[in-house]
Amino acid sequence: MSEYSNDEDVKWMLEAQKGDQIAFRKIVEKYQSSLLNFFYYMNASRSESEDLAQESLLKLYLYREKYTPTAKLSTFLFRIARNTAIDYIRKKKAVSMSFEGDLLESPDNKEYRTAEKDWQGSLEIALKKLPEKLRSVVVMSYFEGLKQQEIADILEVPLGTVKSRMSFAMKQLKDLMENNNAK
Amino acid sequence: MQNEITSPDEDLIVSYLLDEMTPEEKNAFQSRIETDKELKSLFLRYQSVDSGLRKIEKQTSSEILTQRIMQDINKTTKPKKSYIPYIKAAGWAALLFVAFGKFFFSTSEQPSQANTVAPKNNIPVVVSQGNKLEIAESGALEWLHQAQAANGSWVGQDWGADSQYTIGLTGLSLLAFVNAEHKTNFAAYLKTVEKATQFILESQNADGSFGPSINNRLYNQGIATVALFKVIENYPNLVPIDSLKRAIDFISLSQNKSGGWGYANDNGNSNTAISIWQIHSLILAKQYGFNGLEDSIKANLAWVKGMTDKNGVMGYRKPSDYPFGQSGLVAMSGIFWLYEEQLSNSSIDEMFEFKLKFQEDLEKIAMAPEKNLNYYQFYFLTFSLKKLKEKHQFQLAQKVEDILITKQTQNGPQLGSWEPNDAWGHTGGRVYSTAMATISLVALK
Repeated sequence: MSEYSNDEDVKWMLEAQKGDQIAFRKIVEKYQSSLLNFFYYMNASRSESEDLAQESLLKLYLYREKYTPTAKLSTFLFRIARNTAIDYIRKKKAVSMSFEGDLLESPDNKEYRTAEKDWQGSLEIALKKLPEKLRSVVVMSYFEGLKQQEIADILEVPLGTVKSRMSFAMKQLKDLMENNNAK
Repeated sequence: MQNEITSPDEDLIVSYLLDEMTPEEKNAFQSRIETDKELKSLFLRYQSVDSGLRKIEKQTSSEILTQRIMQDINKTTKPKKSYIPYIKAAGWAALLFVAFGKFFFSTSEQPSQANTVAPKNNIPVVVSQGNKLEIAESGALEWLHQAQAANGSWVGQDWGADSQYTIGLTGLSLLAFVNAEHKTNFAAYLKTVEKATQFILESQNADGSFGPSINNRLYNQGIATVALFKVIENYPNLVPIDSLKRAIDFISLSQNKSGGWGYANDNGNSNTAISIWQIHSLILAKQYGFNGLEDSIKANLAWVKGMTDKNGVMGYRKPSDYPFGQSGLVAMSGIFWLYEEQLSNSSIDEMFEFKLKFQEDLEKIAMAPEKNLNYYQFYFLTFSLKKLKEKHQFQLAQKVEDILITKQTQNGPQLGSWEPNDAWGHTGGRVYSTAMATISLVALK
């Protein structure tokens, strides 16, 4: 019996292992928005984000028999999501979705260019300009509400690495915004 | 980019903003901010970024995404054991048994893959003699009868569906019975109809809605209302008019400005699958004699026209929008016949053109219904086929009938039902697939 055995997510996952699709649907309903936001603020377009969220949850379903409740289900799922994103970038490599810090040039960005006029819009652009390693910790922390230790578990890096990435990310955002205001 | 080295104070600020400090660290940091002006100034600059990040608008997902994911999952789930040869062989044996008058539930049969709950009372089932369609109908009604819960409902979770769909599933099952009331042995099911009607009526809320206030409540609402109108046509004493009026009021008030209906949390967006049940309810209400519905119906007709492309097919949320494939929407486009009364004479020619185009698509689906097994689609397909009177369409109807009969479970505890293994079986379970298939079969008579 692990410390996570009583989590509702884990219970649903164990039911899904036995073939209960309704239990798995509950997982889908709980996490699809989180995954959608994760991919969206990692620079995918809205429709790409939906496809990637779908792919991640399908992978979770396919891996269900390998799942053991040794960690939170969300950790397991976001690890899949991040690997899905990285695979996707590798496949697309060049243009439409860059995790290397280039601003995405897709139709979705038109709204960001329009929004650039205001401070909030500029912050969203600044976030999308961050290198992937920094952006991912911000997205997981602010949009998914994950604690730094959970982020470390997902990224499979030491807690100290997450802390320093977060500090760098916040500093860069602050500097970008202040430079923006100074122009 | 600026200097990437952060100072210890900056690290502390970030930890504080993310609530990653112990209570002691937090207190110490707050005391420092109050006394250290430089630190306070730096903190405020970080705090504006922090609050900006928290205000960034989140993307919301929709029920459509859930359905897409579950459909994907459904495709990957294969039965652990193939029952097809087993069912085929047993099917012939079962037909021979029927010729002698009786089917028996066998508790030794393998249960189906997803829904293994047996009917509440495994009593021997007597199925009427007759042609294949008659036998299939009788088996289906008997399965539904035995699957009914004591309170009159068909409980979603008992049969592989979510509990939130119990009202809708009860409405569909009730429709199956009411549409089959022409059957000679139907008197045996009057109690089933009465109990199901009572369950739906008792689930009605003060605002006229049925069941729990969930995101996709309009599915439950539309299906239950259509079922109640079908009940009152045949059994006027079973349904109080006031309940129907309140149900229709709720539907009218839920109509979006566009003229369609959608999910509760979909920001006023409409979709075909939900709208079709609401407009059917309104038209049945108008036919029954309810007044004051013209504006709602007209607004919906305008929406339907706006959703229909040049080939006469409705999109899901906009023209040519097919998130779950086109064939289901082609079948649903049969909704157009509902408006015959509303259309002026001058529109009839236009409608005839539409029918011709629609017919071509209908043929494609009816000739290969097995390609994409979809009981929801069969429901609307047979509704449309019923409207087409030419001999050619009866041949199409025969094709659909053959598929439905072949897919019906021929033995075991689920005898007479249909496996919920189509595109929507994961949502509606065995009651959905059986009720939809039964209604479709009855429509073909």
